[in-house]
Parts: sequence; C-alpha cells; structure tokens
Amino acid sequence: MADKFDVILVGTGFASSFFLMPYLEKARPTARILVLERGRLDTHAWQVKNGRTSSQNANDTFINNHPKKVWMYNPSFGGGSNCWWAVTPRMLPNDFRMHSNYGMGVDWPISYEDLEIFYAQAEDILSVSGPDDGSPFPRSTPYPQPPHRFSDPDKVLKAAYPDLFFHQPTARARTATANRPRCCASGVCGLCPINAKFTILNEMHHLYQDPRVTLVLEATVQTLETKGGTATGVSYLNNGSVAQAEADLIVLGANALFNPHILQRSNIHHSLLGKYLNEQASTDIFIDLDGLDNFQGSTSITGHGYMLYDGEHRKEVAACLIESWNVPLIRVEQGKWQQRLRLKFIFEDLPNQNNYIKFDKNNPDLPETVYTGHSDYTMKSIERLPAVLPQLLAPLPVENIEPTSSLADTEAHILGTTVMGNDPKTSIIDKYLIHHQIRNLLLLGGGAFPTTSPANPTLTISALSLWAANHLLS
Amino acid sequence: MTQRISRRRFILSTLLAGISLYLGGWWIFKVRQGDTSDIIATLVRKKLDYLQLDEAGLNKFAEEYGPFIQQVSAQRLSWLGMFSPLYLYTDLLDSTDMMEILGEQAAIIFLISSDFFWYGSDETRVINYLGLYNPYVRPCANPFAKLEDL
Repeated sequence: MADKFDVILVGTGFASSFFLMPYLEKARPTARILVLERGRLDTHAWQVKNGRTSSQNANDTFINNHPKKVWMYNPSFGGGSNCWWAVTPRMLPNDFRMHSNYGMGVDWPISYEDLEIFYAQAEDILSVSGPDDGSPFPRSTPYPQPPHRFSDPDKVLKAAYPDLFFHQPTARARTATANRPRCCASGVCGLCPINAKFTILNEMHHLYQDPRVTLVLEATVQTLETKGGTATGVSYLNNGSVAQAEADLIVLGANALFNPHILQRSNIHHSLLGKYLNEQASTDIFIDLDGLDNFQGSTSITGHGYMLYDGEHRKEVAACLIESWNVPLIRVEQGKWQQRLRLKFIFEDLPNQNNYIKFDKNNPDLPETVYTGHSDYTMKSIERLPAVLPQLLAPLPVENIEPTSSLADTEAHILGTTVMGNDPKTSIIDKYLIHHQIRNLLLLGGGAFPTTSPANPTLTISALSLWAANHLLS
Repeated sequence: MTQRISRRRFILSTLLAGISLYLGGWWIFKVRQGDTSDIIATLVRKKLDYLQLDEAGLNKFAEEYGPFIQQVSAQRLSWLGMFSPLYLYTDLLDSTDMMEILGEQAAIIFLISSDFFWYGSDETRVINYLGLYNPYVRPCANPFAKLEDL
C-alpha cells in the first residue's frame, strides 16, 4: 500500500528548495512532505576530498545524441548548487517581453514587476553581494551584502560605462554569513575550497531535517500516477525496488531533462512537451593590457557589462552579457605579469522545437537529448563580436586581443522543455508553474523558461519557485 | 698482426665506457621511473631566464607539478627530459605549440606557487618556491587577493 503525503517534492536543488522553504513556513504542524532525490548526500568535505561535486556520473543518467553539445547537471543532494559559480543577475524587464519589444521569441506570461519582490526575497536567502551604486534592473531593496571589490580594469570600464557596467551580483560571500566565510578569490568556484559560496547544503539543509519532511535519497521517480485528470502520486525506484507514494500535491523540481521525461513516461502528452531545449552560448577573449594591472578584485568574477545586452539590436541579433574575470591568469612576460584580462561573452538563445527531450519506450529509464544547434539569431550576434570589440574596448589600453576559436561546450544551464504560457496549446504550465491540465501538479525549474536571456538563470528559477509557492499558499 | 693498445688509450676508453654506461643507465632509470621533472624544470628555467630562480625550489616544484600535467603523457615527457640540457641552450623545443603551452603553464604555476608576487613582482630578488599552488591544500593563497583589505 502506498504511503500518503500532503506533498511529494521531486529534487533538492534550487527549484525545490526555494519552494519548500515558504511551504514549510505555512504548512500545518502535522503536514507530511515526501522529498525524493535521485542523488546521494555528498558533503562538502567529501567533495573536497574527492575533487568532485557528486559521487554519481550525470552522463550515465541520460543519452546525449549530440555529444558535442554538453548538458551538465549535478546529481546529488542540493543539485546544481554544489557546482554553480554563484552568479545571480536578475533578468531585465525587457527579457520578459521579447516578442512585444523585438518581435523575437515569445513574451513570458509574467512581467518583471510581478517577480520583483520574489527576486528580492531570493537575494536575501542567498545573501547576494551586489552593486550599491546603481543597477541594470529596477530594485525595490538594496542588495543584502556590499559589492565585491573591482579590479583596476573594472574601474576603467565603470568610468567609461557608468550605467552599463556594474559589480557582478553573486552568492559568493562578500562578508561572512552564519554558515559561510567570506570569499577569498581562490578562483575555483565550481567547488569552493572554503565553502564560501551559497549551496543548499550549507544554507538550506535544515529544511530537509524538518520533522514534517521525509527525505529519501537515491530515489529516482519513474512515473506520475494520475486519475481523472488529477495527480495522485508517483512511482519511484529506491534500493533496487519500485515504491509508490500518494499525495494531494505533486511538485516536480527535477531539471529540464527529467521533468518532461517523467511526464512523457507517464503518458501525459502534449505536442510541445520536452521541446525548446536550450541554453545560452558563450565565448571568451583574452586581452593583453598595456600598463594596466588586473586581479585586484576580491572574487573570481567581478564585473558585469550590459553594453551589448538590451536595445534595438535585439530585433536582429541576440543580447550579450559580459563577465569580467579576476582569476589570476598570469601573463608570462617580463614586467607585465598582471596585464591580462579575460572577458566572457554570454549570448541569449531563441527556443527551437528541433531541440528537445526524446522519450524511447524501449529504453524508458533514460531521457535522450536531441540538439540541432543554437539559433541563427544567437550565431549572428557571436559573429559580429570581432567587429564591435574595438569600439567596446576603446576605454581599455588594449595591446593585443586573443579570441578563443570556439564556443564553450556548455553553460550548465538546461532550459526550456516544459515552458510556461497563458495558452494551453502553446505551453505546458501556466504562469504559476501549474500544469494546464493537471491542476495539482507543479513543474518548477528552468524548464519553465519560454525564452532564454543572457542572464544566469538560477536567481530567476529561485524567484519563480517563491512566486509559485506564494500563489499556492495564498 | 696484432695491434697493441696503449695503456693511456685503454684507461681513457674504459673511463669513457664507464661514463657512457652510467649516463645511459641513469637515463633509462629516469625514463622507466617516468621522471618528468627535468623537462619541466628546463621549460620553466628557459621561459623565465631573466629571473633568478631558487634551483632547489624549482626542482621540487618540477617534481610536484609533474603528476598534474595532462597535455602530454608522462612517458613522453620523461623521454624529452633525457635531452633537457640541449633544450636549455637551443631553440629545439620552441617551435612546437604543445611545448610552448606546457612551458607557459608550468611557468605560471611556478610563479604563483612562489613568493614572487608576495614581494610585489620584484624581478631583482631570488624567487623561492613556497609549495604547489592548490587552493584545496592551501586555501586563500591567491597573492593578488589582498585579504587584509577584503
């Protein structure tokens, strides 16, 4: 006989944890919440000792039909929070109105203004360090932590572009929190040696120790059970056997590979389910500077440039967010040791139905990725980069520019596949992340994104979970 | 008709054969051990030939850094190491991109593992190796972070 719960929550990453936190605040003392996590709990000490952020291999959990395009996620308790670089920009207001403003992609069913207070809440929970001298997006509150220290090249760019260049918002601690020391710029943030970046493990683990919560690790959800258009529970694999659990509310907070796959496997169909798989594209350049030293910043990435982000050019080419790096990549040249700057250019992409998650009934355990490439809109923006660089970098004493020859193989942001929208024909979930047909089923996470801005998605994913929980609980 | 070898020639020949055997044996031993340190030390020495490097420290660095090199196999590096004295005084390796990259990376890691940047990149003093730069072993060792100001 299946266990009965109030809620079944799948996954323990950002999407799930930022839903669970407000849910627990309002849940009755006798509430029962089952959390199913496919990974193990790999402590920070274990991660440092073993030099990796998960004891399981993500590539064993899905089939990549186009291996040149890497899809990265972290299969362990806390999900992507273990390996992220803790970069937390908000999306811009115009990112939510791509079709209305630029005739590209679609509009989101919610606005920046809808999400603003939830962005602020998420930043508080993450103890984000951010700029105190302006912002590229409207804010109702100051950042909880002061900004990290700029490098000298950042100062030059700030002086030249005062309204377009800012300290990078980040959950790499500028000042110590109760659970984390301040960042000391080791530059290996994928696994912070001193645990200074926010992770679910170091700041939200207590949620999963709440007596109302039952956490089952190494539990892989296979199917969602439904009856008469209502979700009734899930089947999951744990310790080699299949178990069942029932609940009044099912919340899938797995990533954009697995949320659609669970529905596909459960015979819950929609012509767009699994479609629009995407993430940003990025490329780096290395600049030799003439007489200007770098690396004085207090964290790995110190600046965010919006010079190529928003504007009329988005009718033709994709927006681009620029990161200014402070990791000490020494220049081996006498007297010019610190005169080197790495800039990373991150481009938005347009959803494409030809990129998708495929379900194979003969191999139902593993979702498959099908990927035909980034959009022309994105590629045009990347191709024009060499032409715009001289003017863009004019404020810097550039001695030489060394572009990298290829795009990064991944941004580790898996997006699309269960997109949100107002029209049930063209979207899977509504603006509150509730499935259009199964009204007691929520699909959290990056799968909800109908378009992809250049901004790192984690803060928006977290804010969306707070927004969805707020709607549900009110 | 037999030709007699002079005593002097005999001693010289024996000496040369002994030295050759010793060097040959040493090289083979080094290669069999997969010792990559000679070539790494040589690459760094050459790349930073305008700086004064503490030799003992450099050799220790080369030993400790060797296992982390991924671009070239240890066996190939140890073979190249057999001829490291030649590379130091010639341009034999300079034309290969792989060795250029390897040399540059080794020089970067050596410098950031040394006290060079802690003394304001002073190019006139002897540079001492502190220990292989590894944030997981020695956290917060970024010499540019100016932790006192954080």
